[in-house]
Formats: sequence, C-alpha cells, structure tokens
Amino acid sequence: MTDTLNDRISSTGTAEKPRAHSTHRLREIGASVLLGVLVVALLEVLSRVGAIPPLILPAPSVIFHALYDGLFLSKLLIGHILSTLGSTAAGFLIGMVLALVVASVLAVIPWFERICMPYIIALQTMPKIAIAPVLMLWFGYGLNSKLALVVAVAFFPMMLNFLSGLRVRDQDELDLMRSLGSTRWQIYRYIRIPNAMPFIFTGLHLGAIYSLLGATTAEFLGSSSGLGYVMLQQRAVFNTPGVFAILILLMIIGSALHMIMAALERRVVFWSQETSEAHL
Amino acid sequence: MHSIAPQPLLSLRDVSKVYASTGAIAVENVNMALSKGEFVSLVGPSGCGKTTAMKLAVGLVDKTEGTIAYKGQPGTPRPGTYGIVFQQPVLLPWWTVEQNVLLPAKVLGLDPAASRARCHKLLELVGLANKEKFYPRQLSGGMRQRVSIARSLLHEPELLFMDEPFGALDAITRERLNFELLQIQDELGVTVLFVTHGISEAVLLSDRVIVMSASPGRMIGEIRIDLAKPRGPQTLREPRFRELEAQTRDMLDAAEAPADGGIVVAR
Repeated sequence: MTDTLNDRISSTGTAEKPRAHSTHRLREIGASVLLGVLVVALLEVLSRVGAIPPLILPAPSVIFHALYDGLFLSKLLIGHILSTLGSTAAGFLIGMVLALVVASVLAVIPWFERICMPYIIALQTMPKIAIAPVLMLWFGYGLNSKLALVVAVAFFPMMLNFLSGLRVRDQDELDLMRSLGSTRWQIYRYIRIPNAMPFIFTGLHLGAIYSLLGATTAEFLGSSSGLGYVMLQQRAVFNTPGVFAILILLMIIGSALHMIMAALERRVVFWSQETSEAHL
Repeated sequence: MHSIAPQPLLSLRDVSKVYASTGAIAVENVNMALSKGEFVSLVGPSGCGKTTAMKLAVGLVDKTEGTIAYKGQPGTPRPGTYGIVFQQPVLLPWWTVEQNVLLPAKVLGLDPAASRARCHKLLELVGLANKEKFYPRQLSGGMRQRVSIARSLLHEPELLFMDEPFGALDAITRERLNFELLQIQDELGVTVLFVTHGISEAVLLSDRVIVMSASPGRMIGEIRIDLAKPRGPQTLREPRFRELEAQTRDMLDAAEAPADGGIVVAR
C-alpha cells in the first residue's frame, strides 16, 4: 500500500506494513544503484585497458568530465538545456490541451469520430520527421517550427489514449446515469473523465517522452539552440565525450519527466494503483 | 395484506421487445402492474429476459410493442422518479461512500443540505453510518451493495427497481441483506420490482411473484404471497413459506406457457 492510502484507511492494524515496505523498497533502490555503478566501473576498466576505442565509447570518467564542465564550469550547456526543456514543456502542454479537446469531442459524438477516424489514422502513421521541412516552411526557422514539431509528435499518442479512456466501458454506469436523467455533460464529468484518468496518464507519459524526442529532433533538423543542436556540434568536431554527455543528460531529463508524471499519477488516480504483492 | 390501490403506479400492457438487428424476441406479452407499496418479484431462469423486462419498464430499453403507463400517464417513469440497483454495486471508486450516495443529488440538482441529511439517514438505515468517508475498495461486496441501495433511495423515489441485487454475494450475506431489505421497504414504503432467479428470495420478500419462462421471455403466471408481515427469519420456518416456494417452483418447471396465452393466477 502506498503511503497516501494509509492516510485514508482507518486503523486496520497496518502498523507493520509501511515500515516493512519501505525497507524492501530501499533495498531495491540500493540494488539498482549498485547495478549502475558496476556497469560504469566495467566500462571504465575496459576503456583504460584499451578494449574499447575512445571514439566509439569514451571512458565514463571522460564523459563525466565533459558533463561536469558543461554544467558547472563553462556552464555552456545550461542555456541549451533550458531551450530544449522550454520547447518540450510548451509543446507538451499545447499538445495535451489539443489532444484533450479533440478526444473529448470525438468521444462524446460517436458519429463524428467514425467520420474522422480514417484521417486521424493516416496522419498518425505519417512519420513526423517527414513533415519537419513543411513545418519550417510554415512557421519559419526557429522556435515556432520547433514547437510545431513537438506538438505534432506528442499530439497523436496523447489523443488516442485520451480517446480510448473517455469511452464509457461499463453499461451499468451508463444506465445508472441515464436513470437519473443525466445530460451528456454530466456523464462526461462524472463518468468519462474519472474513468479515463489511468488512460490519460498513459497518454501523458508517452506525450512527455515524445515531446522531448520531438524537441531534440527539431533541434537536429534546424535550430541554433538546444541539446540536439549541441549534439550535432559535438559530433561535427568528433568530440565523442561531448556527444555522450548530451545523451546522458537527455536520459536524466527523460527519467525526471517520467518520475514527475508517475508521482502525479499516484496522487490523482489514487483508486487504481497496482495491488502490492503479499508482504513476506 | 395490502388493499390494492385503485390505479396501479406502473403498468405494462402487452409489451414486447424484438431486437431489430437480429429479429430475436427478447420478451413478449409482458403484462405487469405495480400498485403503490407493493413488493413484486420477477422470477425466471437465467437469460429469460427478466432484466430486459425491467429495463423496458423504466425506459432504459425501448419497447417494440405495447403500452406502459406511470401513474395513469402514458410513458415510462421519468428520471428522478425511480431508483435502480444493479447486480454489481456500480460505485464510483474515486468517491467516498457519502459522495457515491449523493450522486442522484448532484445529477438531479437537489438541495445539498437536505440531501446530505437524507444521505446520513439512509446510511444509518443500511448500517453503514460509520463508513461515510471510506472508499469503495475498502468495503466488502455486501457493504458496497448496501451503499448502492442507499444511493438508489436518496432522491426519495416511489419506485425501486432491483436487478438481481444480491446475485453476486455469498449465501449468508445474501440472506442477511434480504432481511435488511424487508426492513427498509417496511420503513420507507417504497414500491419495489425485484428481479431474481432465487425462488426462496422471491417468496420471502414479495407480495406477488411473477414467473417468467425461458427465452423468448413470457409471463407464465403469478403467485400471491400471503405470508404474515413483518417478515423475518421466522418466516422461513413457516409451513406456508414452503408451500409457496413449491408452488413457485412447480410453475417455473412448467416449461410451456398455457395454450391460450393467458396468465395463470395461483391462489
């Protein structure tokens, strides 16, 4: 049981469970860290003995140094991080709002959904990288086209998950609402949206990742700021440690986004957390 | 014994339901009348269409033929005039027990203070007064169904429709809830249409038991239950209870409807 649940449950003699659970969890985290340290140590050793050429995969210590330099010494990376994060966040939010509006309309008006679906599927399956040049034509070289690509990339996985979630899956729930003479809006508010929450969060998880991917891709294709741009720069001068440093950074950002989303999900969708395994 | 009110609260005349897409007959020639304060059970084997008959009565399913009248006016009872309880509790898991019971108030726009007072009273009536702030997942199946019953009565409906409400529960809980339902109905005087395939349950709870045949659903007959009220655990031991149970069972076993299509009324 998560700690938020314990606030709600009146005493059922669960005094032992939280403590047992957190030490279990702590052990798991420790094991994860240990795994990471072992892999890094192994790579460091292999690099030092010359088993891996530095152009292919630099030693972890060199990568770390590049990262440290970019973040804390020359601080060159900070501006680019902010640029990427900014586009990611802005594109994600715009995409999310658009996705929710479109999904809501389609969910509540089934015949309209049926009409539009072929086009939605066609647009979804088109690789968004292919439309990047078009977006640049429309929005110009710079922030707007970058934003547009992020939105284009993040919109579809979010919209489709939202739509799936907003469907009414329980006939009894629908009958209950109809027996009370509910309006479509009331059904939307009391049944569709809360039921959709787990699906919405699936969409948000995907949307966050796709937003980050979209931002860096846009930066590859035509931008003068952001981590994607820096990565191209580093590659151009064969600064492999720099390239890897950016990759590490992107992984950290992606993980952080995921953890934020997951924490939010636990609070919002409190009623449908995965049941915990029996305490040993 | 109740005296029958001059005009039935709800009446169905020759109602049938045919599914247009398949041509399958769900139910036919449903004739039913509910008088105020009555407890009527609809008994039949699984799949005989008794749930469909109930949904036709409230208008959740559109009839193909026949007439339905509520309080003398043609048409099914309007939303807000009846309560409904399903086999599953159908509680919203993101709301507390109290919020779930208050759903009709939110949808129908009833006065919040009065509704909350009624909510407390109903939860007391079903024995869940101390569980108001609990979430459905913290309750047992029987408790959740009690919440569902409380919810169905929040807006003070005259009619209560119950579709195999205790079917998903174990036998002991089911029996206990039967007795609780008797008390609730006695206290609130609500008219009940109760769908079940439990013969004992139907005989224990009802003033009248209507028996339906297997698909296509047709009413075979009706049995008047003249057991003394108030009923309780002692009723189960009365010889008359056994007799009525047997009569109902016999009628149910009679596979064919009477040749003339009429209804057999048993004494």
